[in-house]
Amino acid sequence: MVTALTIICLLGGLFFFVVGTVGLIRLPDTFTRMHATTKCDTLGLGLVFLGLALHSGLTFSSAKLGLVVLFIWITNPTATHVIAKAVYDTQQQQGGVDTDV
Amino acid sequence: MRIITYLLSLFGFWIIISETTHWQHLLVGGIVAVVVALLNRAYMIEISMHRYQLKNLVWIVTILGKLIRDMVVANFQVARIVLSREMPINPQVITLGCGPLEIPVSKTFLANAITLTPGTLTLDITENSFIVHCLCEESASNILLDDHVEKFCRLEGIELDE
Amino acid sequence: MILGVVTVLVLTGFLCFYRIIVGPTVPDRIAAADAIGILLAMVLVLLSAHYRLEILLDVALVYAVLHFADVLILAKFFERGELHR
Repeated sequence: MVTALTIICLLGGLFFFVVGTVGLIRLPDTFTRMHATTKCDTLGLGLVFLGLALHSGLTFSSAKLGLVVLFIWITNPTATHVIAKAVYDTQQQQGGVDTDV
Repeated sequence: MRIITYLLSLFGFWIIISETTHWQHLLVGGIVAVVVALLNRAYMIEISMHRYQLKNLVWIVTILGKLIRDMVVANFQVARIVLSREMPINPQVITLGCGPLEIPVSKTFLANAITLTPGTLTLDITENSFIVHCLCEESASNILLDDHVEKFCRLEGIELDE
Repeated sequence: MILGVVTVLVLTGFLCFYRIIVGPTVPDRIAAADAIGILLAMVLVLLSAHYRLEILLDVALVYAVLHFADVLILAKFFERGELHR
């Protein structure tokens, strides 16, 4: 039962990672590419953490893994926001917003 | 009060990193936590005393549950858009008022939450509004965003009133 | 099982590398580097669970911190390099 849940969580995380990367390849614009990578990487990381924590139980290593995941959950949207703000400010400086590339 | 919170979080971080509960490790960790907390006194975020209440904890848990549900919805939306043959996107930039939010921490948290909810990406935070990039047609995402912001503002408003 | 997941993740990383090479603008490349960084932290975590090496979790934690600083510096450099040419 626990093993099945672990496998489901790992495969779900893998699926979302792959979807985020396919979005990074296929989508036509910088902002839309960042949409795909941020959301999918964050939830994929959470699912993989859930799977590994179910696998190893409540130990110090899973607590440390939770620390890694918490840090990335806080910093990943922030990093995306910094990149998007840089792009947006540059577009504003060059006059006009062209979002429909 | 907030120095005690900071010290406890530092001590918990030490315990998780050192992976043991031997008393020598705990002693060293406690000394290091006290020294670091005293040295970093000037850089702590200004949060007044009466915010440490049990009711706020319940609110934060509610918000986190809604955030995780929104994240799952957002991921399935992105998967549906990306894996369909013709990608039905219509990107546009909208401006969104953030209501009476004043604390930078809550604004940051709300901006990150907007980034993680379906079809939206925070571009810029100005004095009292967010500039948000929308992925799909504006109507659906607009309604969702307004609901979300209203919920957050209600949390912060209640926090501010107390 | 875990090694299979790691293999697919590394192949996904090569797909991100395609975006870094081809990407038309600089922020595309920065976003792809961000995705690769998260993915490598994930690979480190999975390998530590497979080989039972606790030290790789510490490596992953430090790697996440350094990666965040990395992306911040890249984005700031992109912005200022355009502004103060």
